[in-house]
Amino acid sequence: MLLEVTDVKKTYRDRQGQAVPALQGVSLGVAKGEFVAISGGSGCGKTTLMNVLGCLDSADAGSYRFEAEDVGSWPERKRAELRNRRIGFVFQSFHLLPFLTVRENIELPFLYSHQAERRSAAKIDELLASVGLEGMAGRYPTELSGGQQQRVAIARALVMGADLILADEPTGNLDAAMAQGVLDVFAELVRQGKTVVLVTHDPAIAARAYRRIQMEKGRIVSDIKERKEALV
Amino acid sequence: MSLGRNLKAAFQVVRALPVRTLLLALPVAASVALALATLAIDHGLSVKAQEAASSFGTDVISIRSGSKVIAGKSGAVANLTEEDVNALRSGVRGAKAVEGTRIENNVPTSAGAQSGKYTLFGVRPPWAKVRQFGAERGQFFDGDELDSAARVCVIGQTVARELYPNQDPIGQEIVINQVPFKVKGVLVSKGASPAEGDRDARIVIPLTTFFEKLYRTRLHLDQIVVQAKDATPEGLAKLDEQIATVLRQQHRIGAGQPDDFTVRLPERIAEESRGLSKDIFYLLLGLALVCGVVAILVLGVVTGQAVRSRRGEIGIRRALGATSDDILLQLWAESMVSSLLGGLIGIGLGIAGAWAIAQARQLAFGFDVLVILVPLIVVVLASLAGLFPARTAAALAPAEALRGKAA
Repeated sequence: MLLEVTDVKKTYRDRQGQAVPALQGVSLGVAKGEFVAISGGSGCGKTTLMNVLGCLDSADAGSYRFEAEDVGSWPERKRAELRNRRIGFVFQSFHLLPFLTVRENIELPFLYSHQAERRSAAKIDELLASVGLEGMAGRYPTELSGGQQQRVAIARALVMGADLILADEPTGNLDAAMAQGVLDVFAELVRQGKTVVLVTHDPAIAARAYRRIQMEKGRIVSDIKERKEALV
Repeated sequence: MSLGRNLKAAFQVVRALPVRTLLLALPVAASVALALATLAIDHGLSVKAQEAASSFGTDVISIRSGSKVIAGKSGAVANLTEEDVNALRSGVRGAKAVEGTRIENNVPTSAGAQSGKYTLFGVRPPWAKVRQFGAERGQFFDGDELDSAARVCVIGQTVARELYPNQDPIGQEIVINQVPFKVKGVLVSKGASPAEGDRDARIVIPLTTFFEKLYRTRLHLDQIVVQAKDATPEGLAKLDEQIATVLRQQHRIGAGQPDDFTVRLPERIAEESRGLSKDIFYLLLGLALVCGVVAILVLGVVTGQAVRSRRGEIGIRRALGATSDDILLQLWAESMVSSLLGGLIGIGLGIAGAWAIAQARQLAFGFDVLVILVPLIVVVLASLAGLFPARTAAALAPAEALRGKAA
């Protein structure tokens, strides 16, 4: 197992101070190389689950193991390092920094890396080419289309060599053609051996994954695996 | 967390927002410039005042008649006498020398075709030593000339230049208030002082000659100078007290009655020569302080707003591996860059301003070493002001920060 959560619970407080249960005991294992879609209606807890998996938030109860390490109990500094080195994030609103060029945005994770990596211009160019953005390194995000911006975000997620890509509604702001293009990139990443977990409310998007998890009211209600080959 | 990488992040932000950076830098610049210029000008004025005091004599106490003396003019009441001088000589133990001076302003004087109005001093020869106002060329008059009320004089350099434009004045005739005199020497140059005016536009003659040949009916003195044995502030204060005691006795001033004379210590003379009162100095420094406080508040408020509007950016940086300390350090570095820039602009403006004023006012240009602390303190405080709002933002869970607006 690449990652494994066991009986994870998380409760938020809303503005009125009311307790809102987002995860009510979720257990899930994801193996290396899986392409998982987590879907469900608004408020089902899918984004919360993704935040826990990405160490962006901590669970109130339950355990989280990443490659058998109990990362749920790690201090923030080590969790930050895990995010930096092992996990790549792709968000609905891209989250590119508008004042940095495409190259600088992709290089951002190096800034927070503890290892002294050589970030070569050639590597960034190669990465850009692999997501179909040759020659765009000097552009600013606002000069790109939504689909292109999301590809920059994917390149940024990959630049440190992450094994796990977590994508929260990655196609939510894209039209159908652009969305398919981004999903093609994910499928190719899986083919290369990466693990992709994407969160979506859209069954058509979820259908591209090989494993589809359905959530309702903070619980997993169905978990369907299909054969890889059938979907590529 | 490391300073280097967060500095880089800060520079990327600063580079993207040059106007904001400059606006944040301005109050810091204003504060530093104002403080530096004020301190530098005060330094220049103090140097000048010290020069004025030492050219008067740092060990010399001046006594003028009247309770209030306007700088450069003799007192309204003429009540200092030779008896006062004798009483001070015998009654004040801390005095090395006591010399009475008769002063007359705007005395018509001529030499050949040239004429002018100068300040006439009647003194005894030891006065030259007390006031360090001897002859630079030629000679000061001596005791015999004093005793015989000789018509001899020593003239200041302004007088020499104006009355003898193309010749050596020594040995020449000079007509003072219609009485012919012989020029014995030319005085050392003392320049102008706010307290005494052009001190080179003077003519010095024997006190006896003053009374017997020029102003027979007005036998008072205008100034008595007392040279102290002990020129420390304590010594001078003690001397001041002794002088007051003797003169109040001489003038029969009862207890509770105000003095009819004014004693001025060297520091008072320095104070009068400053030209910028300590009040104005503190006012300007206060203004610099207010600017500094404004700078610190502005940086704090702007960083606070930035933290709210940049939650998305903070969230994505956290997701990419930044710790909350990294975020704090970056925000601190951003405000540090602004305030450092402001500090540098302020140092430039302050020094340039002080230099320009020093040139215009002919002041010594210089700084106290401690002045470098001013920009340092403002810059550090201003940059730290941004930290308080930053702490809350940095402490948020990345998921919570990301829930904010898009970066």
